[in-house]
Amino acid sequence: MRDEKAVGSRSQEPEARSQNETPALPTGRPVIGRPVGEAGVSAAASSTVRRLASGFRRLASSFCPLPSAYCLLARFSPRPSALSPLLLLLLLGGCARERREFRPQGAQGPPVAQSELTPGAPAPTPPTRNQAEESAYDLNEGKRLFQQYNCSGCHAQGGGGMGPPLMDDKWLYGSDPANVFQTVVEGRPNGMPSFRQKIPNGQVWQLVGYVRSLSGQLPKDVSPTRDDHMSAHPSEQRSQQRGPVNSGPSKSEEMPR
Amino acid sequence: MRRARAPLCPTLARLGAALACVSAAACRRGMQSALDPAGPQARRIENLWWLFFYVCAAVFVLVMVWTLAAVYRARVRRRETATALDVTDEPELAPAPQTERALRNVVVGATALTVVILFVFLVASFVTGRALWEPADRTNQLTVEVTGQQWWWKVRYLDAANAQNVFTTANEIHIPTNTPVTFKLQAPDVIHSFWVPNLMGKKDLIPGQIAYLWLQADRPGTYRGQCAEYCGMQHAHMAFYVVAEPPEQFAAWLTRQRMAAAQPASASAQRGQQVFMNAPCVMCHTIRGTQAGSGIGPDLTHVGSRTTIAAGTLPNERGHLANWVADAQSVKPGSRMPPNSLSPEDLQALLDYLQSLQ
Repeated sequence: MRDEKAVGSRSQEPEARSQNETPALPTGRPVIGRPVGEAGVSAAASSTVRRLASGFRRLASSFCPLPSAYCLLARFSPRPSALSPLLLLLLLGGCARERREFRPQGAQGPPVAQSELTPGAPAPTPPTRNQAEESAYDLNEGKRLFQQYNCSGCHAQGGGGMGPPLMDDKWLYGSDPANVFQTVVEGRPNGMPSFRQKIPNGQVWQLVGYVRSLSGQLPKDVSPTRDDHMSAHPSEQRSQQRGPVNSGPSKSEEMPR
Repeated sequence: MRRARAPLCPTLARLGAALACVSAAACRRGMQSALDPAGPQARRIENLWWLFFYVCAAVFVLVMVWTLAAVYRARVRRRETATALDVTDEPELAPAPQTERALRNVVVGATALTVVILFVFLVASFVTGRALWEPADRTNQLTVEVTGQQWWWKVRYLDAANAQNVFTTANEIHIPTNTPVTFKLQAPDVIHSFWVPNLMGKKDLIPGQIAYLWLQADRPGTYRGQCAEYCGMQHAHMAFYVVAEPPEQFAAWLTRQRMAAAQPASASAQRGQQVFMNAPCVMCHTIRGTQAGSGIGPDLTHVGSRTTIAAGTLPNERGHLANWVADAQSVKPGSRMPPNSLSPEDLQALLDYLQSLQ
């Protein structure tokens, strides 16, 4: 199918060029003495452009398996040379996924209430926006820190050991990024230590994002992909979204189970 | 034509010769130069380099002279033919047999010479390579384990006889002179390459493999090494220093490095130690003799005794140290060191403490 098309476009090509060039070169006149007028120049230019375009199309179809969508468009669109810069521009959209902020300005991440003691019934709060959850780089940093700060020592790759598992659907203290932030910074009863002032806030937000990706709470386009080495569980990108079910002791009165 | 070319050629030649001399002289001396060897292996590499250089330069000059001579002779001949026959564009249909023979001899001779030269290069390169990687006398030899990681070098001095003597430092390797030292090289993240041009050729550090290399310094001095395999954003700032010292001096250094960190003497340094233990520093760094024992960042037990910080990026001075502690990302964006917001008093106390770790 592809070969037919390529052959077809190639066989049509000389026809089109000869049709175009016929009026520019009238027969019966010596070519050498002919003055080069405006019409001759523009015809020659347009035939050059067409030759370049068809060459580009042939080139694109020969590289087809690589960026397949791009090539499909390049093969079927009537003016590939005009479309190609636009299509290349589209690729720039992927840059946001890897955006890196090494020196975050001002406060790092949204403010988080550091205590649950509030007068009366707690007001419903909108979910916190964790910027680290929008960058694949930050989530991978979270994954590295999860190992290097030895979170795995108790949470065992997210499967749970001395500490509770992090890849199931149950969230003892809530699944909102602010809840996880609070857990890391303030610690929790029965063993979770407080990392206040020990882990910089920017890194805590990266860890929060990674912990949430363990149970598939984050979109697949940012979650970390598979490890270089053997791994205890499917990559965070491939894990199914579980829950979230708030099952914590502090909110056990309202929540089932 | 002849008059125009005559002054040009010597000028070009003189210019080229001057350029070659200047560049060779510039490379001759330096703490990071393969043309300033400080050990037997580096000397072999240098000899090989100069052999290649001289032979290639001779071949280049020969080819250029030959080409110019051919052009000149062709012009002369054409002028003679033109004046003799008054024909300009008539090609020579049948060359004379003696020309044919001479041409064949030249082509065969040049091909043979090329083959001979390439074989000489091959043998020289092979012999040099054999000599470089041949294990030296390994009995009672010092072994240093070097772990290249993004973007610094962890250095562990191994001791098979006494595990108590093993200690870790970073980015600065001291070796005794006139003694072969074995390096055990590894990388946990990506491929790096260990290269001290004054002492030895490169050796790649490939994750999952252990590579060995030995080298020897003949004269005392400080030699700069550099990661020689692109390894990420701060690859250029991943340097280290090899300090070659006379054996007695090296032994003294080794004894001092094996000791745990001294307890802070001044009140300010004591406060600095508290700051260190209560700040994020303690999460990544080790100071032997204290509670800090993490292996993510460089070991800081004797950080005050090192000449540079951040893998050869900055000189180890108070101002640079403050910059590095407070805002490392402005110096080395992407490195693992996070920005730390400390109060000025805490920062000064911390600097006092770090500088006291001699």
